[in-house]
Amino acid sequence: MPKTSTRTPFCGALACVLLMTPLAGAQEPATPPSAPAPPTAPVSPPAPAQASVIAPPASASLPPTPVPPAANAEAPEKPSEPFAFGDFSWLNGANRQSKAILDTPAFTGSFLLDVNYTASAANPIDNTVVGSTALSRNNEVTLAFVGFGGDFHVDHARGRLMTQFGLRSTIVPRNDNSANRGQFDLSTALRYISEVNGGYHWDVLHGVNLDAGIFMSYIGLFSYDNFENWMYLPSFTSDNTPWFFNGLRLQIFTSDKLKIEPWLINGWQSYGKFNEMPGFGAQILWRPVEWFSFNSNDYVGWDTQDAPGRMRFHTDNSVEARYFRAEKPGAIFSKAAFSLTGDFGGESGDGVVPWGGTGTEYHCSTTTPCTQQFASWMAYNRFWFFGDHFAWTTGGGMMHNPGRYLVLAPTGNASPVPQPLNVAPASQPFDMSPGTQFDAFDYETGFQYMPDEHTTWDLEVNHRQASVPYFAGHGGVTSPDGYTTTTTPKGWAPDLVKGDTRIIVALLVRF
Amino acid sequence: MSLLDLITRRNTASLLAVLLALGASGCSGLLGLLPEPVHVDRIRTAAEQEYRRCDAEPIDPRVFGSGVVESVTPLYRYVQTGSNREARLHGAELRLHPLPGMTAELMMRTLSCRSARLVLGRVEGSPNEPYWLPDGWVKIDVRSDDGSFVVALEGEDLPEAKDVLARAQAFRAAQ
Repeated sequence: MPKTSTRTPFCGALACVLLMTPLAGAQEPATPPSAPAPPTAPVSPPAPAQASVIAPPASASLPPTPVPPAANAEAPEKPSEPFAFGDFSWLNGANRQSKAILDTPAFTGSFLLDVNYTASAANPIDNTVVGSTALSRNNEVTLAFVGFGGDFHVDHARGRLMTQFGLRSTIVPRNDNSANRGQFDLSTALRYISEVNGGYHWDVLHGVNLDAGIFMSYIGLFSYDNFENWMYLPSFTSDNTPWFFNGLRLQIFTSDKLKIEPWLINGWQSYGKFNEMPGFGAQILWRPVEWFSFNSNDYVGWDTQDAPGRMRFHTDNSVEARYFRAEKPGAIFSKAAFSLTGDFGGESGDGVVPWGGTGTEYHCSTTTPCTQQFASWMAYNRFWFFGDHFAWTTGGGMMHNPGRYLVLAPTGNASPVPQPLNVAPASQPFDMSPGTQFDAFDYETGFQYMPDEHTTWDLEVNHRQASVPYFAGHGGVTSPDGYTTTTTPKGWAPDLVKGDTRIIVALLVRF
Repeated sequence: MSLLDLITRRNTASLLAVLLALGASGCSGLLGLLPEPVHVDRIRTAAEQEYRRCDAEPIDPRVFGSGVVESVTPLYRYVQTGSNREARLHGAELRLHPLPGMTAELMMRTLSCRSARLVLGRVEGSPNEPYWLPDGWVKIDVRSDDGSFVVALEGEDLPEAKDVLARAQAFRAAQ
């Protein structure tokens, strides 16, 4: 029987979590459970099967050669695989599939397709969505993401490659200003890769992996792959926090219930580095029992252009609990679960402080710093029906971000994103200076139909509200007629509004 | 009036009504599209399997005994989830000693027949015999590996997978 790890914790800051691991093991038997009682009497047989008998092969009856005795020496028992002791297919941000179609000893393949249609109440004339990394075009069928690749695993070597085509290869890299530092066009070079990393696996504890490259971030709970999410459009806590990191990660599975994953990375969802210091962080993922998951992501970095002394810190913590599961497979009401996420962070140095700032916009200095912080939460509840083929999710959240350093920059002529010198800047950029204020909330509800392990149909309604004009209004953010080829006359301004209500329909396929 | 019109006019009551109607009609309409139950009809499947896999010749009972079991390990399948490749427990993998005259194909037929007959109650199994479950269905696959047979026993879901593994380990321990 696999053993629950009782190794001594090696890091003081993580001691409490590590110490809880053996306790967690006591709550639920580790895989496998103890041997069952002898089987009950067989069920009554039906009428005998048809008498037609297949001709026996020549060797159907064994010759009387003695069967070799079983080896007495027990082979060393391999530690159980992490998180395989339970069914975690219910989690928000996790794959519900039980096995991959293409899974060989050397390669496990993946194919992802994400197509959406969204219609906003504002119906902007430029068909552009503002303020999301999941949605990009309004009132159009949009290929948001298509990617293929997989995992390579030979002996102890491992690698992962996932390509990325579709609108997400534009809307995610555009939020990374680090690519403007220096040459070689990092955004173009890397935008068609969502994940690529390679590394080495050690058979230590329940597995230790060291990987280098671009890997997914789970700050904000939701997965970058919408197939794994309860909702298509996540709340701000997820949408405004990183989807990927570029650097090194060390995954330490101290038991089959706990992962500790330190990172050494270039920065906060950045291909390059803004300053001299790298970013540091860690994830702790703890699933002591099948119905509960705790995930904490913590980060420190220096991620502001021309402000090398400005440090960013962020903590992101989620709990998920499945509070109901029907005993009978295929029940009408089959499962219920919720997720709750809370984030807090701030920036300090070079004219800003995380709290208690006395400065005002355009007057932020080291003597009168401006407050720059991020506080948010989101909560979701999900019911599954008809043997998990249907699900209904409701949720929402809030964010408070003075300084707007995690607000997703509007696009078009409202874009505050710095442009290379040969590109004309936006005419009316959204103000993201220190000293500004931004508060927002959202709520949403949606249905998902999951006919099999590979397909999800999604229908949802979402409302977002901000304290300042931020979302695309009917006039759009591009030009008077909505086209980028039309000159914007003097005095024309992007139409930003405070509220955004929309429906979303999506088809998600994964093999 | 389109759904978009309703949203545009911010007629919340109408919008909610439409959404409820859409949800209800969608659910009822999609009910017809629900796939067949995932769990197999074990009796029917066993009868079909017995018809296809069993023949008249008696099989040396040592094939089904625990004495031929060399080792038992968990049977994992892998999926990409989040940023990791994660294992899912599907059952047990038994390594059996090579048996004279036995091929992987024949072993597959033999164990499948045995499983079907155990489910149908035509034979009595030894305690914890892992080739069947009293209230579930075990999928069997056999391959040759370095002269031994590797038997993959797969349950239909995680509880069955755990049952299969626990039975296989108890079966092996009974040697």
